[in-house]
This record gives sequence, structure tokens and C-alpha cells, in this order.
Amino acid sequence: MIASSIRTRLVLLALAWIAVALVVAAFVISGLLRQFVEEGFEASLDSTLIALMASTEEDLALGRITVDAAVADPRFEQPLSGWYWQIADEDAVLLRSGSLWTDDLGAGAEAASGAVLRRTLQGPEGMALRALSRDFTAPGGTSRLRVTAAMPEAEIEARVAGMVGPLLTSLVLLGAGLVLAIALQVHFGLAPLKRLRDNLGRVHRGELPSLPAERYAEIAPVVEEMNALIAHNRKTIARARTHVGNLAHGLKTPLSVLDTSLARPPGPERETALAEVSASMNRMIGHHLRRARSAITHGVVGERSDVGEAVADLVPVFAGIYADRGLALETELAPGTVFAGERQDLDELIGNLIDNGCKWAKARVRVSAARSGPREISIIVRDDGPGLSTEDARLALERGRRLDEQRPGSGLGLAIVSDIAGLYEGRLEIGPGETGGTEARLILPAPPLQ
Amino acid sequence: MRALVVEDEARIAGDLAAALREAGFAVDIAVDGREAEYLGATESYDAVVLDLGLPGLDGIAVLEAWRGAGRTMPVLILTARDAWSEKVRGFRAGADDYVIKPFRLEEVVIRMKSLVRRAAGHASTIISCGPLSLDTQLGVFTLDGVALKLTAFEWRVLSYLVHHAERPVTRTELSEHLYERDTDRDFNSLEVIIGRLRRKIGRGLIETVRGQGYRLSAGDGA
Repeated sequence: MIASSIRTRLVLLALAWIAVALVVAAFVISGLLRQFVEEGFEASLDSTLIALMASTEEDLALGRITVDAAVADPRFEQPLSGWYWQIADEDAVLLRSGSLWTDDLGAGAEAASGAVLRRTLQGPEGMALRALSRDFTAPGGTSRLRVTAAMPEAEIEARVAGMVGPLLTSLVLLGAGLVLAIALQVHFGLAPLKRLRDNLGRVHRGELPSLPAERYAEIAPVVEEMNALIAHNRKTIARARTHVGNLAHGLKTPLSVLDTSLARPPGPERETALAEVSASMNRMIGHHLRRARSAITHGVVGERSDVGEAVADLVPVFAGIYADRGLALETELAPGTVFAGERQDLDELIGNLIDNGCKWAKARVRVSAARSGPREISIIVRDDGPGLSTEDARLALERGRRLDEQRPGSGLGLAIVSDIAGLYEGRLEIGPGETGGTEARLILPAPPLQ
Repeated sequence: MRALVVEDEARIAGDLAAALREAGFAVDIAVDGREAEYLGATESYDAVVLDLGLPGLDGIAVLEAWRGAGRTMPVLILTARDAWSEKVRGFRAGADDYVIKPFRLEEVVIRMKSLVRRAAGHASTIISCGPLSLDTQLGVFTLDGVALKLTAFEWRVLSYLVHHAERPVTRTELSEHLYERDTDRDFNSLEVIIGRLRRKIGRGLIETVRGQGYRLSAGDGA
């Protein structure tokens, strides 16, 4: 549960990234600090060298060299302090700091003229030393001298350690601050999702009729879709309930006719009554099945059905059914006319419209379809029959009419079309055609244009 | 005319067969998809009633198998599903017409007669050949406007000939379209029937095509 939450996932990812970044930063910064500290100490050693070189004189008469002013730093006088200097020629150490006592710092490698020679060495008592040397010739002298100054490595390490400690502490604090910030960001950033979940729970428990609208662009469409789905579910259930009720109610009438007929003596009169009952029950079942079917299949998000394909598949059916009538079935379909719904419902819609047209037509039925708006298509079926009066058209479309008043034929089909179209929030309009006959205009939703 | 009834419900199959025989068809019955597929592919039928909900092999699959094997006889499908999608499915598989269950037997018989007639290339319900004409819906032959009295078998022979008028019909073809399965096919009795028909409608209309068969033709009289 915890491992599979987006929140944990986000926090863990941030933690990993922060840890890597901070470790890298610690290494880089402490490296820079060490370099900085070393450069500082070496600069001071080098200035000691330069001071020694400047105050050294060679007395050729006496055959010795002198340093006329001692180096001021007292550490060079404190014995074995780790801070040493010496001046040597190629053979022996000529002068040394008081701290060095009788030891020496060694000669070191050859160095280019004027360059500073840097080395580390083991000094007196095995102390690790950092040493700088310069070669020079003292004023008044001829021999080549090498001046060397040294300091303890430990002092560099101590200084570096003194700086890295606080650095690490502050990096850890920074890391902690970042993690806290991420946690807060995740918490507040994901709050709408949590709210969505809570609201869904409330809808589920029946405390809310639908999800409250969300203003965030990432969630708003989800909420809309869910609300559409919830509304559709509710509608479907309501319809199913109505259907079952209507069907059960509707069947009671023929059943009672059946009962009374059975009480009669056998004979042609009873036969006729029974046939009528059977026919009426059959009509009723067919009617309800059709409505129930489209109520079940409708509402799937993202359904697309091509009107051209549906018509192309239906035309041979009518060619078969009305083969003897010699009707001309003409089609005029704009390519890419797509219905945002189930193919089965589209078949039912167009099939019933064309069937109705064919029933009334004298010689021709014309089917045309095209997009008629950004989110709608129109399917128009015209016939050259006698035409429908306004009253007939109204009756044909009227829903909720009592079933036992419905005769088989055009009325039923058009009522079904109107019904299914209503489910898709489309509509069916019936009126006189421009050149006589009847024109049925079906408006249906289309998927949004790309 | 010979018809195949494919229906797994024995009572409906029996009723359909009886109604079709009444209307002059020789009728075979298949009660499951496999048998239907076999019969439709091997026997010669003038029309078929095919129930879509079959055990063994689905009706649509049977129809597709027939069409795939090049069988072109007209097929009337029976279906309980009254949806246009279902009809589209049937017609795509090669059906020529459909009837929704529950149906009236007369409805199926009328549709079957129309299918046979249209398959033979006749647009009108009345087929004429010279002085002879057949009202396909009523099933009545008239010669110069006077109704002919025919036995059931004579009617069946003449009906096949008039549907396929003006072309030679071999004895084998004729017998294949007249007899139900598992009945003896006897060319001699066919010969006798043709002789009787010639007496009833005049010698000139049914020609004997040398070697094998017969031709109903308006001929020189027309």
C-alpha cells in the first residue's frame, strides 16, 4: 500500500536525488577547501623562503654565510615544532632554524632555476612535513645555495578538518530542509488527488450525487469523465428499472386477455383472440429488447463509428428486403462522417430510418450524411412517398405512448430512433421533404475535430 | 423446386417443411450446423431456410462456408434477434433475406417463393412462357388464361421448367431439384410425367433436347 502510493514514489525519488547531489557537493567542496588551505600555507612558507634569501649574505673571506635577521616567526625557534628552515650548499647544511636543532631536511631533487620545489618528507621524530625549497646565490657569494622551509602536514589536515566539519553539518541540514520541502510539496501538490479519492468514496457511499468540479487542468477532465460515467450509470439503472416495470405492466394486459380467452369455448373467435394476444406480446418484447439493448451498449467513452461504413453495410440488406419493390436507394455521404457512439446503435438508428423511408417510398430513398457542426453530424433520409402530416410525425416520435396502441410499422421504428438518439443527446426531426415525401433528419454527436 | 430447412427445433422444422411441401417444394431438413453445411455443399437446392442459432456450427458460419464453396442458392435466415446489426451480419455472410422469430409460416413460404423466382432471374411474381403462365404467389398455372389442373408432382416439374424457361434442363438437374433426399430418382417416371404435361399444355412447349433433357420454350408458337 505504502510502496505503491504516488506520494511515496515521489518522496523516494527526491530523496535519492538529494542524497546523490549532496554527496557530490561534499566531495567537490571539501576538495576545493583543501586546495585553498594548502595554497595558503605554501604561500606563507614561500614568503619565509624569500625572507631568508633576502637576508642571507656570504662572506667569502670567512668562508661562511650569515643570515643578518632571524625569521620572526617564533615557531622556527621552538625545538621540534615541525616548523623548520635550513640553508644548505651541495655538501652540507650551512645554517638551520633553532627548531631543527641538529637535524636536517635532506637535499631534495634537482630543481629548475628560480622554481619552487615542493615535496613531502619525514622530518625529525618521524613527523610528516610539507617542504618548499628554492635555489639561489647569496649576494657577495659564488656558491649555489638551497633554502628549504618546512611545516607539519598535520597542521594542514587540522585546518582542513576544521573547515570540512561545519561544511558537512550544513550540507546535512540542507538535505533535511530539502526533504522536508519535497514532502510538503508532495503533500500539497497531491492534495487534489486525495480530495478526489475522498469524494469518490462519498459518492460511493451515496453522500454526494456527483464529484464536485475541479479547477486543476490535470484532474478536471478526469472528474468530468467520472461524472459523465456516474450520470450514465444512474440513467441506465433508471431506464432498466422503467423497462422492467413497463414490460411487466404491459404484459399484464395480454395475460388477462389470455385468461379470459381460455375461459371461452374453443372456436375461431378464441383462435383470433389468442393470435392477437401472441402478436401483442411479441411486439412488446421486441420493443423493450431494442430499447434495453441500446441502453446497455451506450456510454462507452471514446466510441467511434463510421456512418459511411454502416450505410454501406445496410444497403445490401434493404436491397434484399425490398427486392421486389425496385426501390432506388441513393447515398450521399461526406467522407469522415463519424458518430461518437456504438456501431450497433448506429445500425439501429440508420436501419430504422431507411426502413421507414422504404416503407413509404414510391421509387427512391435518399440517404445523406455530413458533419453539421463542431460536435454533431446530420443523417438525412428522404423518401418520395405520400409524406407525413404534422400530427402523424408528432405521434410517430412521441415516447412513452402506451404499447398496446402501437401498431407494427413505421411508428415503432421512428420512436426507437428517437429514443436511442435521446440517449446520445441527439434528436430526430420529421418533416415534409423539399420535393415532397418525408424527410427524417437525425442529429447525433460527433467526436471532437482534431 | 427443392428446399433445405435448417432448424434445430424439431417442431418448427417440421411445421416449416410441411408448409413448404404444401407450397410445392421438395424439402430436406437439417437439425444441426454440420449436417446443414454438408447438405448445402453437396445437394442442389433452389432455396434454403437457415436458422442462425444452431448447435454444432453457427448459422452464419454455415452460410459463409457455403458461399466460400461457391454455392449460390438463395438463403433466407431466421433469427430471434431483431437488430439491424444482426441483419447486416447475415447479409454480409451472404444471406438474401431474413425473417424474425417468431414468424408466421405463410411469411416464410412467400419469401422462399420470391427468392426462388428472383434467383431464376424473374422480377415479376407472374412468370410467363408463351401461353403458359405461373402466378408464383398463388401457385396457379394458367394456359391461355385458363387454370390448369396438375398433380403435385406435375406441378413441381412444370414449376422448375417455367422458372428456367428457354434453357435446356438435363434430366439429372431436373431430378436433383424435384426429389427429396433418400427417395428413388427414376428417369422413367420423369419421362411419364413429361408426357402427361405435354398432353395438358400442348406438345410444342416442352421440347426434348437431343441426348439428355428438356426445354420449356415459347418456341415457334410465340
